[in-house]
Amino acid sequence: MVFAGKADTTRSGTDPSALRSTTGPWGTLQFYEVVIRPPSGNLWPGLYDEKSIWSFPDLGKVEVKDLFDALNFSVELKTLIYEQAKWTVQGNFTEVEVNDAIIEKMTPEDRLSLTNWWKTNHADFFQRSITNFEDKNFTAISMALSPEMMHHLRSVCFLRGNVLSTFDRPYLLRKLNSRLEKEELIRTIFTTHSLIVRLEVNPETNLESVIQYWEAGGRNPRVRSIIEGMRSTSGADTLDILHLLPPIPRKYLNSFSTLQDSFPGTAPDCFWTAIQFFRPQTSYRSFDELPVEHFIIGDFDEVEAPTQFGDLVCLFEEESREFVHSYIHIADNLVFTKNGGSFVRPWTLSTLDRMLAIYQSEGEFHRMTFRTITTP
Amino acid sequence: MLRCFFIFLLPLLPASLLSQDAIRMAPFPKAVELGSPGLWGTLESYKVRLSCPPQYLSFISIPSERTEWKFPFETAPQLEKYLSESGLTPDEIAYLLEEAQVFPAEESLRVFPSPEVIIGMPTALRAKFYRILARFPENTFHRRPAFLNTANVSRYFYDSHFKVEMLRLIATLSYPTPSGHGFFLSDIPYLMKQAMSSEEERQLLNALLRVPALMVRLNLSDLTSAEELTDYWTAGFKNKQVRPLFESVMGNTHVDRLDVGHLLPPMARRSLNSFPEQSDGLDGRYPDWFWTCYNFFRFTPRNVYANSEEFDTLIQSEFMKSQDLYEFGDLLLLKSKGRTVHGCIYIADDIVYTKNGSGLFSPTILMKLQDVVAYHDLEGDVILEHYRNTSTKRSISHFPTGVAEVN
Repeated sequence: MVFAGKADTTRSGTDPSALRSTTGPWGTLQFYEVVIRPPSGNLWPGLYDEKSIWSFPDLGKVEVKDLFDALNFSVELKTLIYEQAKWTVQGNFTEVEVNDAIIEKMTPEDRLSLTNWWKTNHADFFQRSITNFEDKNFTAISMALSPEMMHHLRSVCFLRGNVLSTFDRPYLLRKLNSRLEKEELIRTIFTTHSLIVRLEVNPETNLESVIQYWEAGGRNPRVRSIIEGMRSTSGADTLDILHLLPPIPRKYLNSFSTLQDSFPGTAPDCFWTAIQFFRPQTSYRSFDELPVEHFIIGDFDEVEAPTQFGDLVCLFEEESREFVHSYIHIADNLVFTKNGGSFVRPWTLSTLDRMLAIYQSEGEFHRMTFRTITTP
Repeated sequence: MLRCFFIFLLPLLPASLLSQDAIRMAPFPKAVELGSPGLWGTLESYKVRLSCPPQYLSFISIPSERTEWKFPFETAPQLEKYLSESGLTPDEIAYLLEEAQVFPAEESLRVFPSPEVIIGMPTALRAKFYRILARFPENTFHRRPAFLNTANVSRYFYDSHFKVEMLRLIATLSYPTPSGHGFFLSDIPYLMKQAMSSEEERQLLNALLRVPALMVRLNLSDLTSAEELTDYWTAGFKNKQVRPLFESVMGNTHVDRLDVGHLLPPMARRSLNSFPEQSDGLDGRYPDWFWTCYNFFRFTPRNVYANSEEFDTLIQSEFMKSQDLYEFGDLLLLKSKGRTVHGCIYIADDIVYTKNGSGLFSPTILMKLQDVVAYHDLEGDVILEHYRNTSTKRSISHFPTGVAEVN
């Protein structure tokens, strides 16, 4: 990993919401974690589906049974599926609607192998069905759900490499009665962690150096007077870095996508977010199905360490070099990110490890870092 | 050292202003001010002075150091008659025009007063006469003077690297606003005499163009009613986007303060403490006060301006006149002689969200309401009209088919 300067990250106990800090060329940043749940208005009807349906494209019923064999499902599980599941063929798709008994019979290994098959063979279904959790300890989620519901949730979660996931949201919804309870469950499942980050300025702070860091070589010119304004004010020893972000990330930080931002079938995601970090206006062009290079060449230079404020980092699968995720480097291990093109995932400031918790399912990534080209 | 000098406008002030501005005369360092508690909780604020992006300075035409006044008259007698009818005495008129050069121009008179008149003009006359000059848009420096919301000149221009002589000169040329709160400075051309190089001219203009803005944060250390507080800042349904974060912060015992920027709607947050981007003017004009107010709760801005045809219709259809206490997101219109001269959005504790001009050099900022009134009250008669946004059409009640349903 390439971090600028010598960061000294300290942590107060094990409470993730407690104040932490890091010092480097960016100054001293204090930060604490907050958890954000999507507003009810951002929950689309499909999230409330209570039927547990597995979808298999280009496979008939026989081939699906062969698949279960290949995935090493137990005899007991397969028997339950064959006796109790509802099988439907819709065009090229075979759909299997499973009940509670089948779900409760599944092991984490069964879930993992089935998920991996979907990821490879049915990416759209994978994206719609799999929910990933940033916090494997469910620290925030467990405070919002009953012990009984937490028991159900834990029972249907499984690890994909380093990522904790589930595809059994319908099963959990069936355990609840009222619409309000279901809404709260969905909002809670999609809990996302963000950070409130503050720049500390004290008499020992090398203000010029700090200002230079946040100005990012002229890409973010408005921060000087704001940082300098603190210097002569008694009691103003910290500045929320909301004020140090360019206009676009400032608008979206800790907010959720809206229909105004979206196009049919697509909504702002990580790459949309990363390439527009320093832009004065957003562009719908970034929704068009174009290769990553289309948006990089001419607007960004690839750079080596040290990474600086505003750099765009792209993560690729190590072997296949398939694009996985992109984010903006803020300072030390702090990033600005939108984890997926979902209406229930907000733009956040996050720690690198927290963000990677939902992406690092298969080993390390190949990283490429890009810096916005400044016009003279 | 600059820090050793505190140049106050105090000796120039009428008695009515003394108590009002006395609280602003604490010596360095200035301190964070604690607001009054209310439904919004307790706010803390301090001032910063925002500089425009450096490249914007090159867009400015450096004014001549010769002061020029413009009047829409054709002859000097017409001008003297108008000044007399406006309340100036014959002696005052004679003083102002003494040794002045008067050029008739296209349907107007260009008056070039002597430098001695500019520097020697009594403060009371300067305030009275410049209010008359402000009636004519051609007198740009008087129509839109620099606003010093403090009597402490050395503090106001802190970090500007001005010499003491310059600060004294500014103190001499400043005059009380018509509302009696703060001071105006119109004699920018005269100040150009002090600039010995192009670099110093730019420094001077940069210092004068810096805009005082409030940094505001909510003190969370003494919460009495979290529910009441959430209700206030979410403004019912209108600012629902901030509820998830707000709820989380309220539940975090480690957090003692939250910057109010986090509690603004997304579009308002985007513009906060920012000068307009050059790209904001691609359709021919930059956001003005109405654009700023109308789009406060909107996620995607609509290009409507104070002189747009839809102005009256939008006010009538999306806002309701209110007699209630001001609440977060309320629209306040500043009226002078029955005309709307400005508008701003109420935040809390008499702090408002405002864009005081329509040009590149006018950022969107948080200010004290009384400062905004003083800045725009060129006639001393501004009254406030209070409106509440009643539009609910921003809500998304359902997702249409075709949206990206991904987790």
